[in-house]
Amino acid sequence: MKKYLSLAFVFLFGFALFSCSDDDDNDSNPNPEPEPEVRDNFSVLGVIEGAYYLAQTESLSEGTLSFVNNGTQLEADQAARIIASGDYLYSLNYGTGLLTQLKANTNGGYDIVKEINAGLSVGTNRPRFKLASEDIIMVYNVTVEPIKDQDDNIIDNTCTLRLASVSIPDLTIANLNEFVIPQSDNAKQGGTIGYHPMRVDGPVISEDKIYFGLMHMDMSDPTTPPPFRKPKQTGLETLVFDYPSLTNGTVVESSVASGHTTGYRAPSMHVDEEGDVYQVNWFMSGNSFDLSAGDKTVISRLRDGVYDQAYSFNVSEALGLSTNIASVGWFYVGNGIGYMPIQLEDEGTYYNSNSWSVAKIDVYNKTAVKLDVPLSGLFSYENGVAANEMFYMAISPIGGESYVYEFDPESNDFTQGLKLDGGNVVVDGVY
Amino acid sequence: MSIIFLVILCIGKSMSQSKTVTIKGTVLDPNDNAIPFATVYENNTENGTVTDENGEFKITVSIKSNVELVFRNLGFQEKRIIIQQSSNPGLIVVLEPSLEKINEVDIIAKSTSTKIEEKGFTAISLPVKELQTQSIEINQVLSQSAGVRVRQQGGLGSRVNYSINGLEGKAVRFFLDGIPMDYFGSSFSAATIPISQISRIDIYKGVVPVELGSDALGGAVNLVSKKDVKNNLDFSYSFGSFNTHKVSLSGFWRNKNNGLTGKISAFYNYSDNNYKVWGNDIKVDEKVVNEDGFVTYVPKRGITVERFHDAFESKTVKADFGFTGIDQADQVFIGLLLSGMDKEIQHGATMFVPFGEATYEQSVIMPYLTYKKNNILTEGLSLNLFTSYSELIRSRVDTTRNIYNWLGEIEDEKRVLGGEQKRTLNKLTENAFLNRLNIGYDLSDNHSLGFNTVFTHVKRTDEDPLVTQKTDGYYAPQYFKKSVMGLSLQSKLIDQRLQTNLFAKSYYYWADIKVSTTEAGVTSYETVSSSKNSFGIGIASSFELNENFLISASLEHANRLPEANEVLGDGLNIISNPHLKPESSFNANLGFNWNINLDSDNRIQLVPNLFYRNVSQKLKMVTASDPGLFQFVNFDKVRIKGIDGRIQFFHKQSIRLTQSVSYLNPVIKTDKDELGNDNGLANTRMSNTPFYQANSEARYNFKSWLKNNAQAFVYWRFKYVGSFYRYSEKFGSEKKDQVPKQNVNNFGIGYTFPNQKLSISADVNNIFNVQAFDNYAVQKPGRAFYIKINCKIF
Repeated sequence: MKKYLSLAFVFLFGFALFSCSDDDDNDSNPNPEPEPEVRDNFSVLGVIEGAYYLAQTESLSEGTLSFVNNGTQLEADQAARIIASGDYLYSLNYGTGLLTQLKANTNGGYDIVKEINAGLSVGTNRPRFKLASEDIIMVYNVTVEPIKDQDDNIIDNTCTLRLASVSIPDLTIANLNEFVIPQSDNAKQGGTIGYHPMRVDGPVISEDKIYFGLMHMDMSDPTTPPPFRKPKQTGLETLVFDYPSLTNGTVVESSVASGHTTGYRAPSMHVDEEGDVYQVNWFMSGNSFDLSAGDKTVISRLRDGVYDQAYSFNVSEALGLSTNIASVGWFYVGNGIGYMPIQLEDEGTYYNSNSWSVAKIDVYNKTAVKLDVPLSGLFSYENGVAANEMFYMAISPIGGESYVYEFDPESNDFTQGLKLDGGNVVVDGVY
Repeated sequence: MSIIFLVILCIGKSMSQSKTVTIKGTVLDPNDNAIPFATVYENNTENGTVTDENGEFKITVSIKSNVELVFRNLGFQEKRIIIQQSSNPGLIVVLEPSLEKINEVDIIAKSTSTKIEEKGFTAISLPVKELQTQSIEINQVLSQSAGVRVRQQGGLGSRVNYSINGLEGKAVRFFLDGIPMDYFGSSFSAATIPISQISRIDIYKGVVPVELGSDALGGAVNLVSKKDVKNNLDFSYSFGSFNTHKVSLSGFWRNKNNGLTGKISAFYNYSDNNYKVWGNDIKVDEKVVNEDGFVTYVPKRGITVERFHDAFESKTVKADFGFTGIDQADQVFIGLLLSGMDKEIQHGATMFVPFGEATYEQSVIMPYLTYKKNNILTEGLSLNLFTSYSELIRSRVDTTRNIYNWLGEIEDEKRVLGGEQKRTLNKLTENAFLNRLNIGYDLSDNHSLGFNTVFTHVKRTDEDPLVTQKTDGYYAPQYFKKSVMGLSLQSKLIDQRLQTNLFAKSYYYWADIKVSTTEAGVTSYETVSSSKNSFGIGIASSFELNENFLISASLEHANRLPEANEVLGDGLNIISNPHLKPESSFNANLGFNWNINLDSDNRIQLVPNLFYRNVSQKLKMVTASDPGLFQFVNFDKVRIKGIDGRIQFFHKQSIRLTQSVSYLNPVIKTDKDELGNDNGLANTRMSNTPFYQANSEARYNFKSWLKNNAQAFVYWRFKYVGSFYRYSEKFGSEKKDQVPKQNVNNFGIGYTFPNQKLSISADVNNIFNVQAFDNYAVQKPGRAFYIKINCKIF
């Protein structure tokens, strides 16, 4: 009984404190210099032979983390994807559609806090998802269905997006929307069936807008059946809705470059401290994502729901390399600084080969530096961490040793940090 | 008092010019089951032989006034038959069980098994006669055997994966009377064929004789059908839990005057498979509505539900028409197999997501010809031919937009695009020509040569109306040809106490593969021809230390050719690979068979076996050039060591206690992955592989129960399978997917009426209704009751 009383006391007192501190912040510290966040708990996602494990580490900058007899296996019908926000991690079971909220426990693993069937809300067991802001995970699904005439000829396609806003940490659906994605004139390729939107991804929220990157599929050549049909895109396109109403969906365009704007697993878009959206295109040549020759990897800016045509940052050019570089996404640290996995064309194929490096980019000053990290395969790399005034990401060269690397945003320095299992234990992300 | 049946059947006559005559015939038990490996010899001479696996024998004797042949087999009464000079030299000899000895069936078990082992092969020969009256499936019988693992994806008609001594899937080949069953379709397979239509199941572990001509890497299962010689018509009907019905009809008719013969076997299986499943893998999503009216689906786990979309139906008619025992042939038949199945699909690889409308259908039509003749052209040369052409059609229907929950209800939300597992109306047609030729030649009394060749030619076409953008290039037929040839030399040495079987096999495949190439954004298709071959060699030998102790050892460098799907791809996510080589494995077995006669009533038999498998070039599916595309490559290495064995206790004819165990340690030996990374799984135990299994059985047979000649039995069976991890045992520490241990008890009783025409049995499977899993998160049926009636119409 005494215990409960004291608990109640703490609870009430704590609530009072919290209420007070809220006021304190506003009154006594109107323009706070944010204390550098010192994090001492991180998560590492490891994949080996189809099984997914998540394990904790106190530090990303030193020590060793092995998944041998360590870590929590994640439910992964086909794959598990992870989002970290606040005190929790969220694991999406790609194959069942379950979204599970996890909390680190004291054994180095994770306990399940809550789970929802997010896939059911968007009509699939295989939804995609992304953290759009600190309190919203967007879950979505796009389908492409042919429209036929009386003679069974395909005359067009309907591309339907179903999207759900999952409020976190309470893990409830806060909004639900279905939207037929219009095909731009540019994507119509001059009146034929053309390129159709087949995927949205990488949503970010800035002020009263939410931005989704778009990927198109070349449906124009009926002689090419699946799975050989290629994602194709001319120009850049982004799907924008009013937020939080998720109404007034429009596709905005830019002709600065060509490429998908979805990102792959690394996100394509970030919102800076000013509320501007910076977006990298997915440009890659010599493979099934081949785009028009001679195009380039660029960062574009979106503001107030449209492309800022005055801004373009040609990353390939800024790097000053003789060959094209390819990219599918990047990570933002702050003050215009980000880190971008880049593929070096003459080092090998984009997938399953050591052809990727990392560039430090500055979207304000439009500068980029290729960092001398070991070449590895970063096409599927998912997440890095900006913490303790550093940026961390795992680099696992094929046939070499794996480490988390610590990058200093103040300089071009980086160091080897946490040592990982290496070999075929693939680390897709740190959180 | 023994009765001698002497039926003149004219199984071929062959008189040589000299004063010798070759006498041929078949040795049967009173129920017309062939007795393999029975001894036949000319009295007071050293001239003798043994019957083959079909109970057939031939012996050459010099013509005297009368020749007395002696027929012996352990557990049967000896029989003597006087052959007169004028006798037609084709015999059917029926041996009666010896009364004072143990149960007739056990004796066959012992003798058949021992005799196959005498050839040196590590084999189990399961006589199924005593099981024919029970509601039992072939798969259940297989799973009771030491070293054999049968993993079912659910109830009747569900997908099954077999393994023998740790080598699984396509490494295990199935045969029906020596014919590869690969193109018979799943509607006519070990999962559907009624037990009452076969007489014996032979299981070869690791080392497979050339007569079973196939690329069996890990072993082979040969279903031996009943060998009829007398006109008969048998009928059985079994029904029970989950609305399960199984009907079987088989008949044999022969005109004694001209040898005209007809055979028919037909069956029908149906089950709703609506058994209950429960636990953490089963959930429903409860609607929680927020203040704005938006619904969150919150899973509620741990409920108990009934499977609602898992019905299975299969039906088969197989008819043969031809002649037996005529001058031109011992057997010549034309036959037709018509078979089909229909299956509802309840879920995918696990139970997490239930389906409510997806279905799978398959049908096969196969005309065939069989021809069998001993002493063709010359004395001692035998020929056995099987030729078939089959058309197999598999269709999948999965288009619904409805989303089902585990209560069988349709959720309010619809799928944006249809398809529960994968949106498809795929129809695959496979036309297969199969030719199997088996030639035997006796070099001398103690040496014989065998040659076997199996050739298959498969044409595969695909269509799917949902795939709207087709090209001729993509949908043109693909071809796959495969040939397996084998040559063996069988020898009996040291007073026939040492038997050896030395053999060599060659394997070939040819494929016309469609590959796509993209240049400057234009995709073009071309057909690439590819062929690969490999060679295997092996020896099986046994040595009889004394009449109760037999040592056997066998070695084989075995191969498995890649399957059509592995070479050609599946046309969707798996791309072709024209460079695939056969998988290969070095297989070794060492064992003994020890018979301990405690006293005249009690006997113990001990059959342990050590085994070793070293697999290389094992096929592995890896991601190809794009993350969404897969391809098979030759890659993995696995080393398996293990032991299995069986110990049996027999008391008179009535009590039999059996205990079998198997333990295996399959270790991954691949030290680099396909990209060149160090393999973190190297030297760890292979995942998703059960490694410890034990079966116990107690059976009591009543002779003349209640009434004279009436028989009854009661049995209790217990099966234990140890728990194992779905993924690597090495990685992770919490919430690791684990297949729990299985403890399943079955019980049954049966009664055969005095006239031996009618029998009835009752079986209870999984008496304690425990959760049983062969695979991760796929529960097998709980408690089930079955009743079966067997009737010999004539």
